[in-house]
Amino acid sequence: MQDGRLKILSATVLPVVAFLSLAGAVAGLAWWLLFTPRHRGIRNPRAVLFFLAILCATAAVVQLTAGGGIPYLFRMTVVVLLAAWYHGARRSGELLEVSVSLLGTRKGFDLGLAAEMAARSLDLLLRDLEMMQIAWQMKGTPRHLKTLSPALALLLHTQLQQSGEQASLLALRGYTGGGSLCPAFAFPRRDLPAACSVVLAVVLAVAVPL
Amino acid sequence: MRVSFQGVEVLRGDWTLTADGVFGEGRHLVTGPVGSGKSTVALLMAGMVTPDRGRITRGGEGPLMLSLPFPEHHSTGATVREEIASWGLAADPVLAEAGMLGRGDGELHRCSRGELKRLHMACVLARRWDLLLLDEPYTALDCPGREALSARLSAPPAGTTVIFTHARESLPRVDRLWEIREGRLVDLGPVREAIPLWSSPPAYLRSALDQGAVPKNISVQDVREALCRTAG
Repeated sequence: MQDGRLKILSATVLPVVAFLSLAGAVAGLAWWLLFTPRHRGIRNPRAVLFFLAILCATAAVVQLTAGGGIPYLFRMTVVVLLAAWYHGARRSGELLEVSVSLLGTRKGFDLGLAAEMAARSLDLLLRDLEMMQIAWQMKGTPRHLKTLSPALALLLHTQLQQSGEQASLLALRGYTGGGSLCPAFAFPRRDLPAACSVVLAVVLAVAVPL
Repeated sequence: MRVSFQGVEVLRGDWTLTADGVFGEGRHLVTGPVGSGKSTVALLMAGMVTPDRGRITRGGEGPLMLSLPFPEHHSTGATVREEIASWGLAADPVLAEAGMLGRGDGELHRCSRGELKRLHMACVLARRWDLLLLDEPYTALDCPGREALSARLSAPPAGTTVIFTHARESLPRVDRLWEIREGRLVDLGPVREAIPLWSSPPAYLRSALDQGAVPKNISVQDVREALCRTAG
């Protein structure tokens, strides 16, 4: 998929549709199977498995207490798969370009810049977690709450520090809000079925409220 | 501990890295620009990355340590003292080595990255390893910190120490030089013979070579001595 607008549209609309109804979740899953590289497009399979494990535990509790855990698990699995796809498919600068094209060079630029910085921080955080696992293995540190909490606190503190430094740098360069950008998008024909399928998924979710 | 690379290839899209050679006992320096693959070689040696082709064999089962560039990745203590204890070490000698005496009860997140790096290196170097892999050990250190680390790393090692760095200001004495050139790990050989073959030596060494000096090793001290001999 080439067009950044379509990628963001799909990554925004399909999870909402999947969460709202079972029919939407089926449509979302079909879309994921048909128009993404599936498991090959997932950049961090371990993180996805971690989220799915948490979902399974939550769904089990829901099923045992109030019922409806299995449909919940299915809907949320589709949401996680779509999120994992977008995380792998996202191109640097794409969020800023789409935001500017939709909302203009003032609010759109600010929102897009914030989104780009957040996405970059997420990438760095995932890389940090990978490195931490290696470092802990080398050090022979057992993974329990006593060691995990100070390590994560330090990591969070470092992230906040980096964000502060980045904000200072932007201010130092004279950034007060807005900016100029002329985004150009390519919409190849092969993206057309994927775009139509997003619309179809919305229609299906509204028409079949399961 | 000996680590041997036999026809090793790592493929990451358009980027490839090939490696052949043996890292024996002693100190090795692996240099190359940022992004050339030094960290990948370090991860391969530590067994944390599997090559796409070829084989890596490690002779011996002694303790192994890979020190990563960013010290916070290794940190597991809430305070400086707890962090030192997490390495199984007594606090005072490490605090003295890191230049942090009296800071043992300080919270780790209040330390600067430079302090964290000094503390981390002091913890790593206080223990004995059969294979010690130091990935960018000079990151976040100031000039005096870099010189102190080079002096510390110049002491004879017990096992195999491999230093991966693109740093230029201060380097330790080593036994063998390696370089990553256009995606290939090249063994330049024992340090004296390797110096003239080194394509990107630090400025102080290049300047001495241009003046006709023949340093015995690559540390600033060795280069100074060689210049004195040349000026004679």
